[in-house]
Amino acid sequence: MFIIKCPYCGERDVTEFSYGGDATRAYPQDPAQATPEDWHAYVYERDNPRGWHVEWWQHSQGCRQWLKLRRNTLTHELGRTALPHEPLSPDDDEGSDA
Amino acid sequence: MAEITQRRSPLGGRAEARDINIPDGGTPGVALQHRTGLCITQAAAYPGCDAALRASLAEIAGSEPDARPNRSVAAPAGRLIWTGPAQYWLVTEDPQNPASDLAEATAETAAITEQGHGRVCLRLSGRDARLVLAKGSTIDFHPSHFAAGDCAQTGLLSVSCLIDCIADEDSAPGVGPVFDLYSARSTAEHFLEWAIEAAAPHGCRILTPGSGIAAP
Amino acid sequence: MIGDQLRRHPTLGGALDRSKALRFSFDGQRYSGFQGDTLASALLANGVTLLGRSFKYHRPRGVMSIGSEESNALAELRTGARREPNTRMTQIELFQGLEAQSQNRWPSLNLDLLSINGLVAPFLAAGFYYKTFMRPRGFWEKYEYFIRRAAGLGRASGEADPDRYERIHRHCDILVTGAGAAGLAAAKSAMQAGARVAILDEREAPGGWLRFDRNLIEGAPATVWLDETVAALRAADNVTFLTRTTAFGYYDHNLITAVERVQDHRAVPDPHKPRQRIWTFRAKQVILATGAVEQPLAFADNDRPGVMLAGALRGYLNAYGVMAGHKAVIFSNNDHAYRTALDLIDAGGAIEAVVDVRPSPAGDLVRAVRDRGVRVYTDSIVSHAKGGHALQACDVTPRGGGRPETIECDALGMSGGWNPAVHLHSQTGAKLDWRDDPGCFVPATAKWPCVSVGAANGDFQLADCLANGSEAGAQAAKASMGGTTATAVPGVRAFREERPHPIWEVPLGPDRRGKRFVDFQNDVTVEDVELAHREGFVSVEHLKRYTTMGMATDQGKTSNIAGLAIMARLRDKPIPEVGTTTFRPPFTPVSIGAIAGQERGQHFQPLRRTSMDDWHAENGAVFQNVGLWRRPHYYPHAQEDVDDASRREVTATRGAVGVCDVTTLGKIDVQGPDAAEFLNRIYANGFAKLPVGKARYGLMLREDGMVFDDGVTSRLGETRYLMTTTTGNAGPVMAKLEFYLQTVWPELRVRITSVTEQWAGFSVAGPKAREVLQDVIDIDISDGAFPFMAAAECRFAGAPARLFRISFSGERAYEVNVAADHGAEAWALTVAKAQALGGSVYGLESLGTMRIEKGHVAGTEINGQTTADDLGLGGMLSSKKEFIGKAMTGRPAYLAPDRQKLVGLRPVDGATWIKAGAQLIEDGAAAPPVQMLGHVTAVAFSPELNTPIALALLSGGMARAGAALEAAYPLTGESVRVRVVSPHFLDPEGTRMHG
Repeated sequence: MFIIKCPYCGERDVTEFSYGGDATRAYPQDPAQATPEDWHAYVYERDNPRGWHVEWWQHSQGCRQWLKLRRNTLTHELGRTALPHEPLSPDDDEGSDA
Repeated sequence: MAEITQRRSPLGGRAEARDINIPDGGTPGVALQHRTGLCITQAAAYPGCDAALRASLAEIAGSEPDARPNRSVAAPAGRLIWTGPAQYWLVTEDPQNPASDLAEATAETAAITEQGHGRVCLRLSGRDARLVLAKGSTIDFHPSHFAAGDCAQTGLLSVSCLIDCIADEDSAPGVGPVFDLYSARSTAEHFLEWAIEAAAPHGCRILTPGSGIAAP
Repeated sequence: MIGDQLRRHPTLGGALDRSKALRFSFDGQRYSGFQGDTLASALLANGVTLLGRSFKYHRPRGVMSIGSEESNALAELRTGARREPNTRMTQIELFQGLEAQSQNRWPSLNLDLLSINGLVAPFLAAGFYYKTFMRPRGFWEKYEYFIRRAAGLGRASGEADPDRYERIHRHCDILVTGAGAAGLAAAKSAMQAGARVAILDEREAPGGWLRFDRNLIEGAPATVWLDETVAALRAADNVTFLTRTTAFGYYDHNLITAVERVQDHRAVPDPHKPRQRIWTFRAKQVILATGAVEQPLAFADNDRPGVMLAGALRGYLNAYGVMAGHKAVIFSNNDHAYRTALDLIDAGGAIEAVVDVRPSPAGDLVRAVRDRGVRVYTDSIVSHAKGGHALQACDVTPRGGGRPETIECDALGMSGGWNPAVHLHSQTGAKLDWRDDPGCFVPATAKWPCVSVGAANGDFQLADCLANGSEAGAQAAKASMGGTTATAVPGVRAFREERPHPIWEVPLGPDRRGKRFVDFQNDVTVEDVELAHREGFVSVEHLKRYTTMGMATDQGKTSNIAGLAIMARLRDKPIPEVGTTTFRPPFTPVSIGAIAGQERGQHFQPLRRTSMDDWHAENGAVFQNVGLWRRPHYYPHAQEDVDDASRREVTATRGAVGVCDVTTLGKIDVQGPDAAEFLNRIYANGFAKLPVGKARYGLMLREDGMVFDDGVTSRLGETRYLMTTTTGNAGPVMAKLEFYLQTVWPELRVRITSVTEQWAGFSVAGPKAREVLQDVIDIDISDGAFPFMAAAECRFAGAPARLFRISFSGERAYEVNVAADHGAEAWALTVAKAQALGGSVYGLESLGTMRIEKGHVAGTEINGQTTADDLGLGGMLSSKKEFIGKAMTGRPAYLAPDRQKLVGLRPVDGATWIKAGAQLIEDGAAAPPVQMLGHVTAVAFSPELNTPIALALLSGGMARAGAALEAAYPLTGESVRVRVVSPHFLDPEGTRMHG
C-alpha cells in the first residue's frame, strides 16, 4: 500500500490513485510526421524493468491530476513525483523533492 | 402545463431528523445534516488564466478563492473551494444561482459548469466527527493536519467525496469540528447509510434537513 | 456457585477482580471464574486440564501457553450464528454466561473414538495424503469425506454473521506494537517528546510479562511502574492506547493493520457498536515490541495435558492465581525457566525436580533455586512424559545414557528458550539474523523506518527492555519530528544468566516410545521431519509443505525454529544456512467480518441509482446491474416474463412511443476556445466543423487503432460541447481525455468536466415521440426547426434541460437531459403522456432488441479486438486530419480479409433462438477440432420480423452473406443452423428516425 505524493494534494494513499502505464514513452510530437517505427515504439514497446521505473498515475479520487511517479518495481520504494511537463527518468538522482 | 420547480434530492425523505444510539440525557458524539438546495458552480480556468478567474470569482462571490491546493474560504456569497489545479467550486444557496453571471464574467478565461444537482451534501459535526471520517478515508484528519479552511477530495469507503472543513475545535469551541461532505448523487443513499452506520457508535443526531452553507 | 476453583491460590492473581464471579460452561459443564480470567485460566483454576483433541491423531491435549501462540487449547465459542471456531482459550476473556465447546472430538472429549488414529499413526506420517489416497484411482473423493470429518478444527456457524464490523485509519508519528516493558518504555519517551503515538497490545490489560513475572522496578513490584506508565500514556492527548488489539499485518510504507476486539468480551455485543474494528495505521516510525515466544522441548509425549511452557506455568500463577500443579517438574535448557520454580515454591507449591540439559548451570536464578532445596538434575533430560488424559509422571534420564528415574508429577514446565516474535518484521520481507547466544533469530535491518526492541530483538533482560525501549522511543521521536528528550530509565536489578544450551530434539528414553511433537497443532513430530529429510524434502519451504509444519492457525510460533533446527542437524549445516520460511499476515487469524468491515451486503459496493430509480421500483421494474448502476431490465405486466414484456415494450415503442431511462450514459462537458480542435483530435471522424445546435455520432479509437468508445457529441454553444459515452466507459473515457489534455496537449484552452451526475436522461422514441414532448419543451421542435441530429439547451416544463434529436432505436427519437433534481418529475410527466398515446416505458432488454434490429454496435462488439472497419464503421475514419489511433489503422493485420467483422444472423428455421456466445462453425456434424469462424455477440427476438435475430463477429464478415453456418454452444449441447444476413435488420435507410 503505497503513499504517493500528489504534486497538489501531498501524500495520499495509493487507493486514491489509478495506474496509467509507462511514462517513459512520449506521444509523438508531430503525429503526421512520425514514422511507423516511432508509433510502434510508442504504442507497443515496453520495458519491464526490475528496479526503478517511471509510471503514469492519476489522482483519480482527488484532484484528477496525472503525474509521473518514480517507483522501484522490486522493493516498492517510491521516489519523486513530477507533473507531466517536468522531466523524470528512472535513474533520476532524486533531486530536492525526494 | 405544470411547471417543475421543486428540486428533489435523492436523500429526500431519507435523512429526516432522528436520534441514533443516544442515551437519555446523553449528548451525541456527532450530528449529521442533509444540506438541501445548494448551487454548486464549478469554474475551471484555461491555461494561464488562473489569476483572472480568481479575480472574477472575487467580483461575483465577494472574496477571492485561496489559490493554494486543498484550501477553502468563506465568501459573502458562499464557499469557495479549491477542487483541482486552477479549478474552484462556488457553493451558494438556491435560487441565487451565480452560474450565468460567472459564465459571462469568465467567457474568455474559464469553463463554468453547474454541479449542484449532481452532488449531495451532508454536514458532519461534533466531537467524534474526525473519527467518523477516519472510518472512510485514509487522509490524516488530526486537527493539526485538517482544520477550518482545509478541504480534500478523497474516497470515503468506496465513493469519492469532497470534504470541506468549515469550522474546527478552535474556531467553533463547544461545537467541535464541522465538515461539509459532497458526494455524487447516484450513490447518495449508499453514502448516507455509510455515514449513519459509521456515526452510530458515537451517538448520532440527524438534524432536520436544511439549506444554506454558512458555518453554524 | 458451581465449581470450586480448587486450583486457585488464595491471594495471588493480579489480573483478577475477585469481587466479580462469573459463570461459564465448557462442553455443557458449568464452572465459575472471575472477572479478569481467560477461558484457559478459569478452566485450569477448576482443575480442567483436558481441553481438546489434536488435529490428526486426536490425542488428548491441555493448554500449553499463556498467549496468542497457543496451539492446543482451541474452542468453539458461543452458539448459533455467533459460533466461532478455533478461538484460542488463552485469549478468550471470560464473561458472564460464556459457552465454549471443545473441538475435533467425537462423540466427546473424554471418549474420542477417532483417537484410534493414534494407533494407526505410522499410516498417517508426513505426506500421508500423497501416498495413501492416490490408489485406487478415483477413490480420493471417497477418502476425502472421511478425512475431512476426522481431521480438522472447529466448525463455522454457516449462518450470516449478525454483528457489525468497521475499519478505521489512523496516522501517527510513532506506532508501538506491544505494551510490555520495552513497548511501554518506548511509548513513554516518545510521548514525552511530544510525538503522536499509538501503542497497541493484544491482551485486555497491558504489561506483557511484567504481569506474568515477578520483578522489581526501582525497588517496587514492577506492576507499580506498569500502572503509573499506563496511566500517564492513557492520560496524554498525543497517545492512542489500544488494548485487545493485535497488530497482524505490516505492509509497504509503514502501513500496519491491527484488529481491535471491541466487544468480543461481551456475551452479546451492543448492536450500535462494532464487534471488531480493523485499524490501519500509517506511521512515520514503527517500534516493534512484540516480545518473544517461549519454545517447547521435543521429548516423548510432550503433549500430555499438564505439560506446558515453563513461563505459562508461572504466568497463570502470578496473573491469575492458578496453581496448575501441586507437584511440578521443570525441564529447561536455560536459566530463565528457574523463575517458575521460584515462583511456585514461594506460592506454596512443590517442585519435584528441575531437569537441566546443561552440565553445570550456575547462574543467579539456578543458585536461588538450589538454595531452596530443590533437586536439580543437570546434564539430564526428561525422556518421557507419562499419563493419559493427564500427566502423572515423567522419566528423567542422564544425557549420556543410563537408567531413567521416574518422578511423579502433575505439572511439567518445559522451556527450550525464547524466540523473538519477529513475524511483523519478517512480513515486510526484511531478513533475520541468527544469534548463537541465546540461539534464536533476531531482526536484521528493517525495510521501512522501524526498529525492534526488547525481547522482540533478542534482549530478554528487563533492564535491557526498559533501556532499549526508552532509547528507541526517543530516537523515533527525533526521526519523525526532530528534537529529542532524554528519558530517565528506571533501575532494575540484572540477573546474571548463563547461556542456554540449544536442544531441538530430546532423545527418546530406553523404552524408545512416545511421540515427540514439534508442531502441536498440526501433529508434526521429530520423526516426520526426519522422514521429510529422507524423502528429499530438505529445503525449509518443502519441509513445511510436506509435513504441514507451521501451517496451522498458530503459524508455527512454537514449532518453526525447532523444525528447521532438526533439519539443519540432519543436513549437517548451520541453522542460518537452512534458513527460515517467510512469515505472512495475519499474525493471528482475523475474522472475515472484520476484514469486510462496512463493505458487506448491500454495501459490498456502492449502488448507483438514477433520479428515476424510485419510480422504477414503484412501478414494478425488474432491475439489472450494469457496472455499479442499477437499471430497469423490463417492466413486466402481471405474469409476463422478460420476453413477453420486451415484445410488448418494443411493439409499443415502434408502434407509438417508448420512454427509456438513459441517465447512466457518460456525459462530459467540454468547454473552451480550443474545444473543437480537441474533439477533432480525439474522435476518428471530423468534429472541426460541427455547427452550434447540432449533434454528431463520434467514434473514438485507442492508440493501437482498436475502437475504444462511441457516443454522440453535441455543440451547445460556440465554445461548449456535450460529449456522451457508453455507460461502461464513462470513467475510462474521462480519464483518457484528462490524460491527453494534461500530458500531450497542455496548450489547448479546453476544460472538461464529468456531468453524468448533474443531468438525468431519458429517451423518447417512436412515431409519437414529438407529440409527447412538444407541449413540455419551450422550443419549437417541429421537424423543420429541430430536425434529425439537432441539439439545443431548453426548458422542460420550466426545468433546465437539453434536447437532442438522436436515435438508438431507429425510430424518430429525442433524448432529454433534465437537471437531475427534476429528473423524477420530468420522467413521470413524460411517461404519463406517452402512456396516454398508447406508448410504454421500456428497459434494457427492449433497448437491446431495438439496437440489434438496427445493427448498432455496443459493448459486446466494441470488445477491444475490433477495428472501425470490423464494425462496419470504417467509412467514418477521417483521412483529412490526425486523430488518436490513426497511425495504427493501416496495419496489415487490421486489413486482412479474414478478420472477424460484424454480420447479422437469422435462424434458418425462422424460430429457434440463437445462443449469445455461440461459436460459428461451418459444419455442425464435423468432429472437433473444427475451425471457429466467429461468435454470436448479441441476440434478440424481433417482434416486427417475428423471428429471433443475432449479431455476430464472423471471419470475412459480409463476404459470407447468404451462407448457412452452425451456431454451436457446446456447453449446453445446443446448436442452431443460421444464415448470414446484413446486421441492419430494420429500416436500413433510416427513414423512420429522419421522420
